[in-house]
Order: sequence, then C-alpha cells, then structure tokens
Amino acid sequence: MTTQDIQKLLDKYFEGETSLEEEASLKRYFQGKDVDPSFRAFQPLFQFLESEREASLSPSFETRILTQIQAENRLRMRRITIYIARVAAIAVMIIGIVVLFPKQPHMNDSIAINWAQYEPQTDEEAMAETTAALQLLASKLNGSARTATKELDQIKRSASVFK
Amino acid sequence: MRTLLFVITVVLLGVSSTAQAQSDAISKYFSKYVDDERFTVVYISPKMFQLFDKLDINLDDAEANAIKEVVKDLRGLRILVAEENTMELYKEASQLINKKEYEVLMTVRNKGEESVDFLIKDNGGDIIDELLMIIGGPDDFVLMSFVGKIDINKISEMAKAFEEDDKE
Repeated sequence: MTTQDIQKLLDKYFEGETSLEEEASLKRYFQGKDVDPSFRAFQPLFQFLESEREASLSPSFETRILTQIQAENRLRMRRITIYIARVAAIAVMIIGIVVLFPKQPHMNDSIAINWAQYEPQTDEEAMAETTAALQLLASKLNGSARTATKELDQIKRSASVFK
Repeated sequence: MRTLLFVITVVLLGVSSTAQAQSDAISKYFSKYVDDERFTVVYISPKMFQLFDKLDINLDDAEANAIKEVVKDLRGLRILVAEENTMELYKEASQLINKKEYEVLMTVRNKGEESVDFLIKDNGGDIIDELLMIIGGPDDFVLMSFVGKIDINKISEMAKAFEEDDKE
C-alpha cells in the first residue's frame, strides 16, 4: 500500500466512512513494521485499539460486581426495613392510644347534652343548689336512711324555675 | 428529626383528644334521658363555682365553713332527680357505672327502703376527681356528680359538721 492509499484511507477513517475491511487494512498497516514516518503520529491510535480488543475482563470481575450489587441491595433492603419499622412504630402507638383510652365514643354524648340550659341563672340560686346538694351528700354519708326531703325540695324547686 | 416531630404531634393530638373525650358517668347515663321530662336536672358550671368565693351561705358557721371548704375544690356539679320508676332507674344507673373507672366508697342498703351508693374516681390519693352519689328510694331517684379536685378529708369533715349539728 502506498502512502497515498494510506492517506486516503485515514481521511475516510476520520470522516467515519471506512468499511470494516478498510479499517482492518489500516490496522494491519499500522501494526506492521514499515510505517511511514509521516504517519507515526497515528500509530498509537490503532495499536491502542488492538490492545483494548485483546483486554479481557479479569475472572474476578463478575463476582466483584455481583457482590457490589448485592451490598447495594442489602442497603436498600435495610432502608426499607427501617422505613417499615418507623411506620409500624407509629401505627402501634396510635393503636396503643386508642386501646388505652377507649373513651372516644362518649365524647359525642357529653357534647350532645347542653348542660348550660340547666344552669341556674343567678349565682345565689347556684349557691343554694350546691349547698343543698352538699347537705344531702353529708346527711347520706352520715347514714341517714330517710331521704333528706328538705334539701331535695330545694334542688327541685330552684330547678323548676328555669326548666 | 421530622419523624420525631411527627410522633410527638401524634401523641399530643391523641392525648388532647382523649382529654376532651373524658366524660363523667352522669353524662353517659343522662345522654339517654336528655329529653325526658320526668327528670329534674341541675347543672352548675365551673364558671359559676369561681363566683362562689364572694357569696355567703345562710347556715351555721361550722356548717358554712365546711361547705365552703368543699366548694373551693369543686369544678362542676350535676344533679338528676326523678320521682317515677325510681328503683328501676337506680338499678340501671348502678349497672351503667364502669366499675373499672369508679371505686365504691360506701354503699348503704336498707331493705325495702332506699339504697345509697357513693362512688369515687381517684388517682390513688386523698384528692379525688369525681364523687358520685346514687340514691334509689321508693319515692326518689337521685344521681349527683361532683367533679373537681376534691379532698376526701374535707368531705368527711363536712359530714361530721352536719352530724354534730343533727345531735344538738
């Protein structure tokens, strides 16, 4: 092959228009011993390509990459586990609160009753009610068997005023 | 950190909602009879109790003082009185009271006559959260609920003050 041929092939090569056969001949030329000094600069390019082609993966490469992937998977698994644990912990806590304080349903009961409508309008009345209630309590605590009519009447009387 | 904040929020929300949800026995019981005309109902609000400090009680000094001492601790009072079906109402009320929540302080039973139950809700000390009295007699049914931070010793002192007065 003449230097003109090589020059033409090189031009085509750098244009990316060479066929596989032409590239092979180029490679052959540059791997040969009588490379024209003006083309020396291109020699490493083709030699490098050849040496790259020959390079093969080391046998341990596969196992190394596999262990790497596994380690990453394990890390991901652990993150997922931690996340699940968090969600579970919060769920357990909420369930715990619900179980420990099962009073939620009664909330509506106490709201449903409008206690304010049964409240005495004056503080004197309220005091009289309270006193009567406490007197009744005291007499019952003392073991009095008869219903303390006097106190009960007081409670009823003032209650009926605003009923 | 975000998770921690979330957890704290959830716990606080839970606690506050259960605190609101805490209802006394009388509410549970009375919700059934809220529109029942046979009941006489009295309610004294916490606000009203704050006004009581300035008021005078028309009683003997010893009794008035004893009552004042108890009133200081009270935050609420609810009374239900009925004159019909008294024994049935009494039985129903006794069954409705949660025995886990309330502790029986004293029960007085008189055959054929009235029964009185005293129940308390406490934290294990002398200060109780609620004092409940249920009277079931032939003529009257009374359900009374005192709430607040009630000193049980003051209650017994008050009872004593009235006992001495009865003897005189």
